[in-house]
Amino acid sequence: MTPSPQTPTTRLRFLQQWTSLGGLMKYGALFSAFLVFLPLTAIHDVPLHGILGGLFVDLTPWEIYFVSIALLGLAWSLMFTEGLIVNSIGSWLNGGLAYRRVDANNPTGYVPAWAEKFFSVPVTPPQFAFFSLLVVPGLLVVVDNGVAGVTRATLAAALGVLTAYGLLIVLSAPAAIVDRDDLPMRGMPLAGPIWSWLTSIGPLVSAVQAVHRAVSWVLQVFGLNYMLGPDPTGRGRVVHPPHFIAITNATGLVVLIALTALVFSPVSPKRADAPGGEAGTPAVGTPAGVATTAAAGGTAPSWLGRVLPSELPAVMYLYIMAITLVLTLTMLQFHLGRLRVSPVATLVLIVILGYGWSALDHYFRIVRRPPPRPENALTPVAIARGSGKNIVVVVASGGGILAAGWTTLALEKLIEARPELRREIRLLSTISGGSVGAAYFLDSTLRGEPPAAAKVKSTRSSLAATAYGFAFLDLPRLVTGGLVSSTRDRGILLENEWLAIANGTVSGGRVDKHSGVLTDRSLASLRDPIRQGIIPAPIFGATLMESGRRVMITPIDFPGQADRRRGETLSEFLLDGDEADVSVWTAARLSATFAFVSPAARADIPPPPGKTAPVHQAHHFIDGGYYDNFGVTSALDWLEPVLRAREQREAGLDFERVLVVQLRAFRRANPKELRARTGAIAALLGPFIGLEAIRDGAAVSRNDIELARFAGAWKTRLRAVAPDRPFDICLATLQPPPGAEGPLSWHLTADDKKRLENTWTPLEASAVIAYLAGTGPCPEPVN
Amino acid sequence: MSRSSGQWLAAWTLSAFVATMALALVLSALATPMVEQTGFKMVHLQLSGAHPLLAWTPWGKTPTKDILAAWKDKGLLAPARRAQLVDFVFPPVYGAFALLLAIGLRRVHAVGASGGRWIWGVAAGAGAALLDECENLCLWSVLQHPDDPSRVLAALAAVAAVLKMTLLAAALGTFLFAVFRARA
Repeated sequence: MTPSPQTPTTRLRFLQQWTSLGGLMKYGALFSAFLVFLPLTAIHDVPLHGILGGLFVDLTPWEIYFVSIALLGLAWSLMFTEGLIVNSIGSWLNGGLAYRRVDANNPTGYVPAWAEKFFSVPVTPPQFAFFSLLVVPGLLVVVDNGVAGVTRATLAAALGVLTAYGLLIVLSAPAAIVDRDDLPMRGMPLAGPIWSWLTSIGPLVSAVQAVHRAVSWVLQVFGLNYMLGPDPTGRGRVVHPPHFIAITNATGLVVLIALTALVFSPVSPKRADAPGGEAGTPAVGTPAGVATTAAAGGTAPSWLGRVLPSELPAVMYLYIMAITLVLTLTMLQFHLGRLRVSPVATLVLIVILGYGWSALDHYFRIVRRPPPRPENALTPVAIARGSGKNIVVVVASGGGILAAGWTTLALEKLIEARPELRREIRLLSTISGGSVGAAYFLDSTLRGEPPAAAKVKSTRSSLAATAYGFAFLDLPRLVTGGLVSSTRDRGILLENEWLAIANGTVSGGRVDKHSGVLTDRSLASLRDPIRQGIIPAPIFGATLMESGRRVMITPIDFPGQADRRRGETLSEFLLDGDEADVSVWTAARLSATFAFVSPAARADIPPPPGKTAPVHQAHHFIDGGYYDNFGVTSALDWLEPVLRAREQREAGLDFERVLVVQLRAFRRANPKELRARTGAIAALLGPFIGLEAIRDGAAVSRNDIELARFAGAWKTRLRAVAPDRPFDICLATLQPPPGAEGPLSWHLTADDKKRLENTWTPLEASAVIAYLAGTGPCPEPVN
Repeated sequence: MSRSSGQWLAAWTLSAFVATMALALVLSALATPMVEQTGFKMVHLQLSGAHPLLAWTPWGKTPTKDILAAWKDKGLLAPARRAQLVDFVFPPVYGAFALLLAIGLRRVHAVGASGGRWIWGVAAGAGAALLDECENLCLWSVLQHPDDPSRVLAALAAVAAVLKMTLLAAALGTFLFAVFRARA
């Protein structure tokens, strides 16, 4: 029913008005809450602190300047869009014009009268003050946590606020010029004099009026007549000034965002494959980008002789995404609301139809090679040979960048305490963040760097690159249903960033990235150094989205391809017979497909000529942590053939001790101490909470049981077969002390890095070292 | 009421509401370590001075000294003081919100057929804020002497807290009644 001012007053009408206001402003309220509460995550124990809190910390003055502009850009986008939506009630009610001047004596009655006056265009000082105040928490947080002190941070923020205000005046100027009697903002400092001055420039006025008429013509062509009113000069119909200001501001914002995308576009590095691939087995169907990609830029942008930062902080891109969504959703709401069509449903439809029509997807690059010759195969036994008395298997769990840092920290400290571990560690079975740490460890070792360098590199944030990809590549692609598309996505940008960091130089705890040709490493190129005992063999664990099965991305050639008692390798799954080679960074990225940070991706395999590709080649890879966040299952898959070979007394397998070290960046919670959920939560969300809990719960209990059975069974078997040869399997765990865990995200602050360093547990580590030296027992297992 | 003053009233009321929500979130976060490690919330400390009179409530079962000892044992006195310090900012914010809301509701009601002086009951939230500041001063002093907290100050804080909660409940009740009686 359409209410009207003539409807008799009732108590229900009051509630109706508030409900209508809520319905009209739902997106505005949502993004206003986002604007206010997101920066508060920088405070410890605020919900989402662990995931997002670090984004607002350690910003340089330059970064604070840009973030201040973005904060106000979002706040003022909300101000204009919500004002126009409330103004357009007349159109929604009776199909009339999408703008009505506020008439205090004749409210529509659809929303509370105060709201109709308050949320409006032209913008009034109280409205401007309210929306501007929404950014105060954000400004306070970034200034207080800035890296260069409060004074410089305050100056940077103040400069950002002034710049944003200047941009607002300039972007609103066209609307002020076309109608001096209906100014878009009233009572604002500086705006009036500037607009008056601009109005005195004849050619500018003519140009703006031409644009005004052109925009009006376009709107007429598209049938958006409800945005048009009579031209004061009597020459047809023109767009209302409030809509004109929205159009100029939205256009200006889009241009600014596009400029930001252009200036701060991450460099596509020149790559050179590291030597050591399978000699004599040329790549087949090499997709573009694996061997060498075109370089783009490589230096920090400069402006008037001042060098700008080469990248913006991830939080800046988060706000750009929010602005994009605000403009998209409110625009759809404005135009479709009168037809009572949901903007979200429309967007979902656009995505489904657009992706279906264009067959868009996210891809990762692989190189198809013939399988290695049997004599060159890197079998588990070949890896284990020559390890000496000890074989050490390191199993690194997932957990974002903290897990990457914990993995490299543990490897650094352990090798420092026992240099023999460089040869004794024969396998790294890793998941998600642990995989990223492992990739840096392998790469640094091959570069001849000290283990500490891998730790510094692995804890350097790479979130800005993926946030850039999300804001400028993947979100536009999503909301346009693939109309705006690029061959790059945030997953590829993340890989490029890791590659650039890996090629950087570590000095004073910092990584200086280089432009120019960067050395990339394919998994095949690792075979020789693994065989020579220079580095351990990696297994990067990933999960298949469609089937939930585990896949091992590894250079290891497992025997018995048809043996379904173990997980499949990438090559076995994708290319029945051939080898699927990927970059180490692609392997790490697939293993660490953290929800929404990087996209689920499928292999880029062109179908054979004249044939369709097998359906499984289009399956998507997601984070290895969905299946087993600890990497234990793959480690057992590797140990099984090694121990069987020792049982059969194969030559070169002289080890007496097998140590499986679990590196966990986060302690397991005692299940009996977990907070109980309320009955309402259990009734509404119980199945989802249960499914999420099972992800870790199932892996934990399965791993504990399998490890214990595996160790017990093999100890019995090997001791029975050769009573004269000592043999032991020991399971150890290294994890931070209680309460010392850091954030679960892809960004560490300077404090987080210090805390990570301080969480190392030398006592537990020394027990592991003593066991390997034969001077101590196997450490007690931990839960 | 001029259009402009009505809009400023709306702007400040909405701003005070947002600030109240933001500060409530921050305070809740600052108190989390105390809750997680000892089970005692700030409200336990506020009412502890009335022990054992309020032992029948969920928050009045423990005397002040025991709460402070538990926090001291876990090294939580500094976080508790920090939370208490931020708590000084909270009452002016929610007090202003209650006062502005009362003024706004009075005006909205004046438009309709009903409306009366009772609607100023919503402004009881501002009175609660004054009491909250008194309570904060007492608790601040108590937190400075965890080994020997003043029983008088703790008792004063508890009295202020009880009155504050009563006024807040009255303000909330009035607000809900105002919504029920409202006519568009």
